[in-house]
Amino acid sequence: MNTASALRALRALLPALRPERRGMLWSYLVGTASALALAALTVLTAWAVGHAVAERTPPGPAWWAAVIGLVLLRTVLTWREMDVSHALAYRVLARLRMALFDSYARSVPGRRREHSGRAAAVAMGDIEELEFFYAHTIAQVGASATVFLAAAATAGALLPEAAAVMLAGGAAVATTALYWARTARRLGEQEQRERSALSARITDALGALREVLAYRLAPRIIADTDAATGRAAALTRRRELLEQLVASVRELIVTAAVIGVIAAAAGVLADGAGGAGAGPSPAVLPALVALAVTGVAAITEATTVLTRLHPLVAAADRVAAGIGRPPAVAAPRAPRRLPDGPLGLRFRDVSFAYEGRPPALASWSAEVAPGEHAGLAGPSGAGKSTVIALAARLWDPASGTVELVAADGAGVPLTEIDDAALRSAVALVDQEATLFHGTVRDNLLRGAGPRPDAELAAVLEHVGAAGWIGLDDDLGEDGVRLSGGQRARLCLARALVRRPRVLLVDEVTASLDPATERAVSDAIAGFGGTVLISSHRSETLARCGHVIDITAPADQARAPGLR
Amino acid sequence: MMIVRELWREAARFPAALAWSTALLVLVFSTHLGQAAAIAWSMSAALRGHPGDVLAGLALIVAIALARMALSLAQASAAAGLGGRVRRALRRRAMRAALTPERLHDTAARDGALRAGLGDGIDGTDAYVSKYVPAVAQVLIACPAVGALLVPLSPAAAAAVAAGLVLALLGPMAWKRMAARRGLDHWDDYEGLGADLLESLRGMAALRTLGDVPGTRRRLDARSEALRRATERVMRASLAETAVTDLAVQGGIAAAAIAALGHAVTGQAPAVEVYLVLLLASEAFRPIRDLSRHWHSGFLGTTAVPGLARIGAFDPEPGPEQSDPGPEQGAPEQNAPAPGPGGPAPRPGPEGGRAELLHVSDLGFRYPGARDDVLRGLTLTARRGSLTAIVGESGAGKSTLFDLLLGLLTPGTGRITLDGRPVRPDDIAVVSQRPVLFAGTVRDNLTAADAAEEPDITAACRAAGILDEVLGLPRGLDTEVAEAGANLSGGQRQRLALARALLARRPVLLVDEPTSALDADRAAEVVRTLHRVARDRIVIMVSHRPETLTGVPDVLRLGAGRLEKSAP
Repeated sequence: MNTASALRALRALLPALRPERRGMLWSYLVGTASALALAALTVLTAWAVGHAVAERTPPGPAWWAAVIGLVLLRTVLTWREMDVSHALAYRVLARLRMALFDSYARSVPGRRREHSGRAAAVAMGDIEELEFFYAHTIAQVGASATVFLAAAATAGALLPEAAAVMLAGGAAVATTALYWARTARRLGEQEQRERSALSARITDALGALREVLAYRLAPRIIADTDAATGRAAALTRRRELLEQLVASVRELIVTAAVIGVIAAAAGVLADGAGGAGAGPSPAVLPALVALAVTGVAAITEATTVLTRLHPLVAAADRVAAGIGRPPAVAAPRAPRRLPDGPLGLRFRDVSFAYEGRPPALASWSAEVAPGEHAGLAGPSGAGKSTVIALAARLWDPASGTVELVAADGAGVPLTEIDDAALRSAVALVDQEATLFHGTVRDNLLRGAGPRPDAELAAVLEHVGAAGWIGLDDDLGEDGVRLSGGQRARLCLARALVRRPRVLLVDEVTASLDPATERAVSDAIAGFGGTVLISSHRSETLARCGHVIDITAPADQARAPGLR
Repeated sequence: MMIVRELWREAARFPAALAWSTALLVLVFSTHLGQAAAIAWSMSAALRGHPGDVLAGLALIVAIALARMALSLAQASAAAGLGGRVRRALRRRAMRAALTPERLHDTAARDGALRAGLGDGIDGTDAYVSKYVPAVAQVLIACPAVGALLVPLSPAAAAAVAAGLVLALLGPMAWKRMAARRGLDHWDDYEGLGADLLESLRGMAALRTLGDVPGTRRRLDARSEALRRATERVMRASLAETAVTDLAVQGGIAAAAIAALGHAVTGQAPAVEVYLVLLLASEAFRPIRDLSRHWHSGFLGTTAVPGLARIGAFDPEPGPEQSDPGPEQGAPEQNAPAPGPGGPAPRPGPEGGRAELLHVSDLGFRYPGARDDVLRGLTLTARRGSLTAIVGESGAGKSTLFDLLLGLLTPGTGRITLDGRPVRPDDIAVVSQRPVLFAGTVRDNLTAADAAEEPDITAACRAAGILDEVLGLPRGLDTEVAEAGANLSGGQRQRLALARALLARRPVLLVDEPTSALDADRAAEVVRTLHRVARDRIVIMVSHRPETLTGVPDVLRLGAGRLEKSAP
C-alpha cells in the first residue's frame, strides 16, 4: 500500500466526523487551552528559578497566583479534553457500526460467500481500533501545531536565534512521521489479516462444534489458533519495535534541538557579556530553554500520533470496504404498488451464476399461477435452491426477470417492488432458515408486527408443534436443542404467521420422518395462497397441482400450463 | 493504579520475561535521570561561562540519548514478548475450555459473545500485560529511588514530590470500585453486541426474507448505543483518574520548584543543584505519566477479564502443553494416544480398525432442567456385517442417542460398549443431518480427521457418490469451501461428510438421514455404499425413507425413549 492509497483510506474515515463539527472544534479549543496552560506552567517555573539563581529574588504574588491557577486549570482542562474527544469518538464508532450493519444487510448473502467471522471481526475489532483515530488525531494535532507556533513566536520575540533552531528542530521532528511508514502499514495489514483469519477460524470451530468434537479436531484447532496467536504476537512485537525505533530517533532529534537552543542562548549570553547587552539576561535562559522544549514537545506529540496511524490504515481500509460493499439487490427508484388479491410467479429467461462457477440457471422460464400450489423437481444441484432464492429476491438474476403476477396476468418485476411490500407478500422457508436466540414468540414475530398469542398458538398447533414447545420456551442460538424436523416446523410456523400471499419452500421435507413430513405437507396444503415448493421427494411433489421440472428444455418449460 | 489480579498472575507465569522487561524499563528510566543531571550541569556551566564544561555536558547528553535508544528497543522487544506469551497461553486455555460438548446443548451459549472473548478480549489483554504491568513495577522501584535522591539535595522538594506521588497513586483509588463495576457492564455490552451482530450476519438471508432487517437494525442500534454509553461511563471514570494524576503531577512539580526557589533565593545551594532538583522532580513523575498513558490502551482488555474468567481462560492447564490430551469429551474412560499440536499424529485405528459388536444397555438421559427423560432404558445391539437402521418421529431422541454414542453427552444411566470394552470417541465416525464443513479446501475438509493419500480420497469420494462433482469444481479437491460449506448444495455437503467419515477409518459409523437431500438415483447409490461399508464396520443409520430401508435386516423404532424392533 503506498502513501496515496493510505491517505485515501484515512480520508474515507472523515465523512463519519461530519455531524461532529462542533465537538471537533470544542475538542480542539479545550485541547489547545490545556496544552498552552502546561506550556505556561513550565515556562513560568523555569523563569522563576532562573531569576532566583541569577538574581536571588523570589517571584512576586502574581506569579504564585498564576502557578496555582494554572495547575488547577490544567487539571480541569485535561479531564474535559479527554472526555470531549472520547465521547465524540465513541459516538462516531457507534455510527460506523450501524453503517456497517446497513451495508451488510444490503449485500449479504453475496454471490461470493463471505465469512461471517471475518465480517464480525471488522464490525467489532477493526472499528474499535479506529477509536484512536477519532479520539486522538485531528483536534490533537491541531492543538499541538498551535502550541508549537505560539512557542516559536514567543521565542522569536525573546531570541530569534533560538526560534530558528526550534523551527528547524520542529521540522526535523515532523519528518519522522514518515519514517518506515510503509513497513508500519504492512505490519498493520498483516496483523489485521491474522486477526480476521483467527476470528473466522474461531467462528468456524464454534459453528461446527459437533463435528469438531466427533472427529477430535479440538487439539488441532487449538494448536492452529495457538500458532496464529504466535504469529500475531510476533507481528505485534515487530510493530512495537518499529514504533520504538521511530520514537527513539525522534527523541534524538529533540535532544539535538534542545542542545541547539542551549548552545544558541549560551552563545548570545557570551556575546552579550562583552558587548551591548541587547540579548536576554541570564535569568531568562532557563525560561527560554523550557519554551523551546515545550514547543518541540508539542510537535513530537503530534508526530507520535501520526506515526501510530500507519498500522491503522489496514483497519480503516477494511471498514471503508465493508461500508462500501456492492449491494446484492438495489432498492427500486420508483417503487410500484403490488396489486391486491392472490399473486403468482413468473420467471422469464432467467440466468444466474455464483461467482466463479458455471451458470446455475441459463435462460430459464416458468410460471406459477396465482393461488396455485406448484412443485419444483429436479436432481441435486440442478438449481432448485437458486430458483427459490431468486423468487425470494435474495439476489437479482444476471439477466431476465422474476415477476409477481396478479390474477389478471399483469406482472410486477421484483426489482420494482419496495422491500417492505415484497417481504410482506412473499415468505420463504428453507433448509438453512435460521432460528434466532430468544423465545419461540420472539422468533415467530420476527418481521411480522404484533400478533396476539392466541393466533401464534394456533399456528404452532397448525404445524403440529404445540405438543412439544410453548411460546415462552427459549430456543438458544439456531435452536440448539431441536431436531431437524422440529426446526423445520418452527420455520414454517414463522412464515405462516406473516400471512404471506406467496410461500416459497425449499427442500424442507427432505429429512423428515413420514409423520412429520405429512404434518408439514398438510400445513402447506392448507395454506390458502400461492406455493412454490422444491423437493426431490415424490410424496411431497405428488401433493402439488403442478410440477415444474427444472431440467426440462427451455421451450417446453415456457409453454403455459405445462403439467 | 488498577491491579487486575488475574493478569498479574498470568504475567508472573513468565518470571524471566517479566523481570527482564521491568529491569530494562528501569534502566531506560535511569538514562532519563542521567540526562537530567547532564542538562543541569551544562546549564549551570553556561551560566558560569565555562564553555568547555558546556560542551562536555552536551556530549554526555548525546551519549545518554544513544544508550537510551538501544535500551528502549530491547525493552520494547522484551515487553512485547511477555505480552505475546500471555496472550498465547490465555488463548490456548480459553479455546480448550470453549470447545467442549457442554456448549452443544446450551440454549444460553452464544457464538458471537464467545468469539468476542476469544478474539478481541484476549488480544486486548496484551497491552495491559506488556505495558501496564512493567509500568507498575517501574513506579514501585523508580519513584521511591528518585525521592531518595532528592532528599540530600532538598528535603523540602523531596517532601513535595513524595506528597504528589502519594496523591497520584492513591487519589484514583476513590474511583477504583466504580470503574471496576462499570468495566464489567462494558464488557457485557460488548459481548452482547458481538453475539447479536454475529447471529444477524449469519442469519442475514433469513432476516432479509422475513423483512426483519429494520427491526434487527433497531435492536442492534439499541445494543450499540448501550455499548457506547457503557464505554463512555467507564472511560469517564478512568479519565477522572487521569485528571487526579495530572493534578498530582503538576502540583508536585510546582511544589518542588518552589522548594528549589527557596534554596536559590536563600543562596544555600549552587545553581547546578537547583536545576537538578527541578529536573529530578519532573522525572520523578515520569513513571506515573507512563502508567496513566498505558492504562488507556489496556482498557478494553481489562474489562474483558471477568468474561474471560467465565470462559475458563484462567483455569489451570490440564498438563504440559506439548502432550495435550485434548478436551474432555464427556467419556471419562478415554485414554487414546494424544495427537501433537501440528495435527493428529497418524494413529492405527483401535484394534486394527475393526470391531464386531456395539452394545448399548439400559441407556437413559435427561437434559438438565428438562421435565422428562429423552431416553429411558434404551437397549441396542449393532453388529458388523449388516446395516442397522433406526426410525422414529422427529424429536424422539435420535440426535441425543447419537450424541451419547459419540460421548458428547454423558449418559444418566446405562453403558455403551464396543466388543466388551467402553466405547471411545475416536471409535466412531459420524455424518450428521446438517453436516458442517469448515472454511478451507475440499481436501482439508475430507482429511480433517485423518491424513489420507490421494487414491484413498478419490476412493472415498467415489463411494460417497461425490467424485464427479468434486472433479468438476473449478479447482477440484483444492477448491475453497465457504464458511459452513455455504457454497455447496445440501446434497453435496451430505456426501462430502460421508466421504470424510469413510476416510476416518473408524470401526463404527453413525449416519443421520444420509439421503435426505438427494434425488432417488443418488440416494440409491449412497445406500449401496452404506451396505458395502457395513461389511467392514458397524453402521447405524437413522432414516425414514422406505427405499433406504429395503434390505436392512435390523430396523428399530425409537419411541417413548426406547427402541423396539420394527416390522420391516
